[in-house]
Amino acid sequence: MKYRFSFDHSEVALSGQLTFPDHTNFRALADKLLKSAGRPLVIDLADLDFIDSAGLGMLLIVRNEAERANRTVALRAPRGQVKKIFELSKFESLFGIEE
Amino acid sequence: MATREPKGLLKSPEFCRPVATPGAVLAAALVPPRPASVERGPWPMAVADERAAPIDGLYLSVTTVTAYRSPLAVIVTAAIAARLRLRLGLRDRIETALYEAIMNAVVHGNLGIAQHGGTGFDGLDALGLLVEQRLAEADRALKRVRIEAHWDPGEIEFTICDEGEGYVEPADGSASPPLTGFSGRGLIIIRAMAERTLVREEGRCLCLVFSR
Repeated sequence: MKYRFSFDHSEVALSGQLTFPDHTNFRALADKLLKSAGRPLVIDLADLDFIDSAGLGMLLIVRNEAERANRTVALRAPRGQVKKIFELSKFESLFGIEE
Repeated sequence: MATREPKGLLKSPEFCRPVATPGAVLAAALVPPRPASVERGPWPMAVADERAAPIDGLYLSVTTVTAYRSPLAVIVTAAIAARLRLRLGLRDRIETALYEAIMNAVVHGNLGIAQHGGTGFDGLDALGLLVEQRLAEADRALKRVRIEAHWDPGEIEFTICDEGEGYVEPADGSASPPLTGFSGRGLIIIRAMAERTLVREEGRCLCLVFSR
């Protein structure tokens, strides 16, 4: 997984794959995202090609941590396999999904 | 322009030699028409065609450590796509289901990690640490993960087997996680991606069937 932050760190764009072995890197980026002032926090998935069940869990952890601080997380532009897995996991009821 | 003489490590032939990753070796070993690939022993490994698989099939046998560290699902799916025309969306479904099935075979099967109790990122870190600790135990790391694929004009069938203790799914469906649970989605995803699934060998083998 690779990632790139926006200027104010409230948006992060992921690329490649988000799978279990990425959890350490993802935790670091989540910490940075949660420390930013953005509302909502945005995770851009336009360049993410593949996600596994652990990757879904990681997104849910960010959502829960944001919720504790009365903030929300939006997932932007999922496509292909990622979009299909989100539909299967009913993520549209848990996150704001921006097309 | 004068060329610079390499110094130290850079001068060593060992340093300059290209290093093949396990994934690259496995992918090369499954280039058509090779039907089978068996990893012998721990990495650095030799991969050789060893088993006379039928022409409508593929067979792959790797150690647990290679199954965990290599993009096996990508490699096997690419090997299938090199032999068969896969309709739109099928390649993604196969790769997704294979990925989850291989991770289950590694983590819950050969590494014997039944559940991870922690939640949040601390839980994931603890699980990651446990996986690395178990991979450092030779008897677990060298257990095999076997993947077999067969096809006919109507279907493609994969069987993923491990050498763990097996698995019994609760009959009451309690294996399903809540909507917001952090883990436990692997089997749900597998079942949604494949047309049919079948657990065999007391949970040590999982068959996935896809319509072509």
